[in-house]
Amino acid sequence: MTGGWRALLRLFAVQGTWNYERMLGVGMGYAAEPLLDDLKTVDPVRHSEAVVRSTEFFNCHPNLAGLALGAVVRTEYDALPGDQIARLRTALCSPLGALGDQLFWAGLVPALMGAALAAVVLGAGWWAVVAVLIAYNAVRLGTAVWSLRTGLKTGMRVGAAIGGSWIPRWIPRAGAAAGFAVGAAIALVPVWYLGGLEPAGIIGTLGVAAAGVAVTRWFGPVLTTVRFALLAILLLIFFRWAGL
Amino acid sequence: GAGLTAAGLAAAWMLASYARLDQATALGLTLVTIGCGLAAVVNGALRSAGRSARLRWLAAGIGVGLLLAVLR
Repeated sequence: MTGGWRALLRLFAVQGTWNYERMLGVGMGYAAEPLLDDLKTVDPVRHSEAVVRSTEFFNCHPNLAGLALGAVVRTEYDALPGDQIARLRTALCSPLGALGDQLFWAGLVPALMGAALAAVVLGAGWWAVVAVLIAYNAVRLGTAVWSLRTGLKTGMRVGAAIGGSWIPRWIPRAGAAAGFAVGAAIALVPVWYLGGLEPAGIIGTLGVAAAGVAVTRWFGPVLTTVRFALLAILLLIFFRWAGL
Repeated sequence: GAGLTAAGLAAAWMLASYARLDQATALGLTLVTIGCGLAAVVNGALRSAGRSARLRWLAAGIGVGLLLAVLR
């Protein structure tokens, strides 16, 4: 099977034609095309059906889409029945979405953002931003290569491969790192921001923050933080206008 | 989304250009805005941490961050 590098590059644009009807489907079909090329000479009828199947509805975390792409392409070459391939594709949507969300959006990204904020406050400057970009994209690229290779290697057994891989082990670690890094940033950034103020100003700001947290958690979804902020600003303007 | 952002930026530019605020009001607005931003960050962090081990890591991070802020 050829076309692996072209498929990998096309996977980086898998969300390029995201739409509500097929979601990632068209992007997956575009990425599958180079991998399915060899099927043209082996079984032209199968090739046409495989191309159509590869563009059907699909959605998952974009960074793990290679697992599904590789697995589905491998099953096409293994000449499995079309409805079985469609079921595999559908079954992979939710797990890959959940795993990717936990690993990247709730793990790696907040961990790197928190670390960058803390590093900037501690004097790293622009280097912290550069480091975050390099670190995130290194993980992103490594995950893309690994996921496509694993999918192509395992085919129908991709579920077991995901379960036994590094992903379930690293999700709790990424979550812990995210919690720690964001916590450090929460402490460091306000201290840095408010450093030049008088004590009364600092106490006032922290008081507003504490009131915001307490009130929005007490009054739940009705009073969001944005609404609280608008209310606080209006109250301040009113008090100043009233001469208080 | 883009339209709303553009409208917000335009409103902010007009306020910055034409609004006349005394220093106390300007300072008060700055502090209220920073405080509300901090509340939003804390709310988001607490919400995503849940009640699991991640909450303990969040607390540990806050502790280490405060220590670093004092030592800085």
